[in-house]
Amino acid sequence: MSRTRKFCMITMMALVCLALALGTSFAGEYPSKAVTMVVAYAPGGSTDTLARITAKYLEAELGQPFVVVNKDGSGGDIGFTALAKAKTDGYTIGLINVSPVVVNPITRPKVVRYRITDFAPIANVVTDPGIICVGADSPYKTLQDLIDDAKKNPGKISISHEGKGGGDHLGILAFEKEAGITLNGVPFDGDAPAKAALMGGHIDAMAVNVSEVADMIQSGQLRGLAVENSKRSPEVADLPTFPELGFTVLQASSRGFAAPKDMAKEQLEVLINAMTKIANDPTYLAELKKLNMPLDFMAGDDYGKFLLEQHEFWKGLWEADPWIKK
Amino acid sequence: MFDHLAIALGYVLTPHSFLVLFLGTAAGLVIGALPGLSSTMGVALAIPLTFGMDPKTGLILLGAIYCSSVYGGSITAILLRTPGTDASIATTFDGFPMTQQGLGGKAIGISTTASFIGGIISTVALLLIAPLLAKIALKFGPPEYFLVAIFGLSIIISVSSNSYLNGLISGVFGLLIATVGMDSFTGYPRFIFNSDSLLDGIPILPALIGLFSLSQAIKIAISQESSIVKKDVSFSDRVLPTLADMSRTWVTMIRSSVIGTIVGIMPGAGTSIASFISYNEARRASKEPESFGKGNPEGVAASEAANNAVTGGSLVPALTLGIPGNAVTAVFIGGLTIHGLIPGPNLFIKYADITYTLILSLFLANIMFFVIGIAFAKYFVKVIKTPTRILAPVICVLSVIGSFAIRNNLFDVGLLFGFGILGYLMERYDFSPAPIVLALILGPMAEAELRRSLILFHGSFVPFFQRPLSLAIIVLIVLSVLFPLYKEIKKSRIRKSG
Repeated sequence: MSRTRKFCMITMMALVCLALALGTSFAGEYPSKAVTMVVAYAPGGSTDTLARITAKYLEAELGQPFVVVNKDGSGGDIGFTALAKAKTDGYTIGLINVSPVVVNPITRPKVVRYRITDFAPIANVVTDPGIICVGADSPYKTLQDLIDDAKKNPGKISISHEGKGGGDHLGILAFEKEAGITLNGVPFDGDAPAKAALMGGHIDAMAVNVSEVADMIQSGQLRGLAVENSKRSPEVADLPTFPELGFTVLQASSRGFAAPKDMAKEQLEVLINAMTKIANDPTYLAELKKLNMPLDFMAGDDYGKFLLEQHEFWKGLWEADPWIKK
Repeated sequence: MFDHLAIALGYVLTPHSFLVLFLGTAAGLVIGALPGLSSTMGVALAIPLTFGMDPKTGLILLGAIYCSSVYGGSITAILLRTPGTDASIATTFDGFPMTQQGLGGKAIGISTTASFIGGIISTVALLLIAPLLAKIALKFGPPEYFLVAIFGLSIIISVSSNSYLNGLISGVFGLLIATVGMDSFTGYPRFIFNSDSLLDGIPILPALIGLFSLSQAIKIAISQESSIVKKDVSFSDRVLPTLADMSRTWVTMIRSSVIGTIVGIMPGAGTSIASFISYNEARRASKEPESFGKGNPEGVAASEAANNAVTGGSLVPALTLGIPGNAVTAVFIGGLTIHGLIPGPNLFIKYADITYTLILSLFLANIMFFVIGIAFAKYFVKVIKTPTRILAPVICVLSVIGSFAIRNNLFDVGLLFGFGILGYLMERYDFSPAPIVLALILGPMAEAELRRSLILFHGSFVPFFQRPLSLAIIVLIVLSVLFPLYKEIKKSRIRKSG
């Protein structure tokens, strides 16, 4: 590390300490002390990374530290519940993930103690579309190859997803219905083991999110077939979308910030403005790009509308055909 | 490769890098030794610190924490029988008896040396044959992982108890409680009594801390002794293993390092499986298997060489394929991508200077914890002279903090006390708690991989016997189940005829 950078870091740390000391003296101004940021997933995952990077920018913007607290487990329920039931003094916010935050209370109403209306939306930041991909030496060069083979061998082609009722799985169901095929869906616990199984030739295809595989597609370790989105993804710009190929399969996972619902309007306003500013900061955008996280910014009421739409969509699907059998 | 190594060497051998390396190693030692603070958490907590650093410096820090935290767990496992992580459970079997015989310093010397050798051998493998090893890792599919889990379970039962039946009972109990939680195939919540804290199953770390650390605190508190080591035991101050110790244990150390490296490259397996398999192999190869569990330094060497060999092994698929071998390397990959380094073949070509800096820093981290471990062992050992009236509450408080900190969830503290009392009762009635923890780790793995395999094979068991690799593991399992049974039968025959 060069001397100037060292100096910069020391100055920064001194400033943070100063800010901490000064913060308490400006009572009345929000935020006047550290804000806790609940993350419903384990440290090191993509939600956690997004939280920690954003915390850095929020801190610079609002002059108070944003402290990430991981409350992981139960498909996000523990963290989401902690956020929904947190004190509404404005000093606890958190990240919510669509679809889990919407789907969990629908499918497990007795166990999950929050409802989607318990959150005050701040801003959605990232939306990561779904994608179907195969191994680098797979015989399927295009989506049509896979469909043709599936028609000849119904139920024989194995495709991984991250558990029934997750976005990947619902994407597969929609694809099967529209293409008139049956695939053999295999649930995996997480993307890493599924990728290993795909590269080792143990499964034929994989349903996943673009950010998880973009690098491997670019480097030729995996082959993408089609993206479940209405527009192409810049990370894999050569790949067609499902609508381009004549399907309406649309599926994505979104990550955004929310607060417990009864937080004061003025405080919420401060956070929404700060997030809007950050989402236009080129260095922030560059950091997201490095992580293959596609920005999809929706603030305040727009985000709230999106959450309710998602709720209605999933509720409809669940009531029509529940995927967890009792 | 060698020119990249030379550049990396120039970078690593600077005072600044050394300072980071030293701080990382020291932090890792503490993290490993404290109950509940796992390697995963240590590396994850360090990642935000690397944001402001040069990627090379950041990786040196992460590498140092990873290597030394796996080693750090052995210190408390040996001295207090409170393993900091599941990686060191097998270390307690012989490590703690050695402490009770006044040989705590020697046990730490052996474990430090074994950890060092395991770490170095696996790092050499990572440096020289990573792409080849990665190809082997990909050969393992769902059926192979299912069988590896079964192999692990079969070993654990025979290893961890004096009695085969008691081991079996503990293991089956562990498998039973491992069924708690959401069925990831159907989404159905099993035995959770409407508590969302149980939806992920019984969390492993609170169970581990309860069964080992808290139960030990209860035992110490109830006993009338003023120290955990009997007064008449004389202490040996020597820490560095003698030539005789080394000639007795070096074969075990090398064998265990190879096992650890191989287990490390398999995504999903982990440090605890590696150390148990190695412990079992060491005992089987030994001329006096009865001495295991009673303070045989080979037992310590086997477990510790294996769990540190996992460090290098687990980075093989992480760096070459971008597929993490375990939770720690998953966090590691997160740390790499934040700096714009994408794991995969490119890492060794485009970013070779950074990658080789990481590998080189693993070497140095292993050397660093070796030096620190040997130098400070004398002071570590003093902990056993702490009066029990201080030791018991301290372990108790650390256990509560540790189990709370994992998920910031008070429910886990309740579980801790439940498992603490269970662990205390089990030990009193001569049951080992180790199979419960390992069943909690391997049970869900076995279940998920079996069901996944059956979905892939459309319900048929035949392909299990048609895949060469899975067939080989089946043979291993049969041998490992029959071998101890055969010995037990032979022993009872001799007893009868004698």
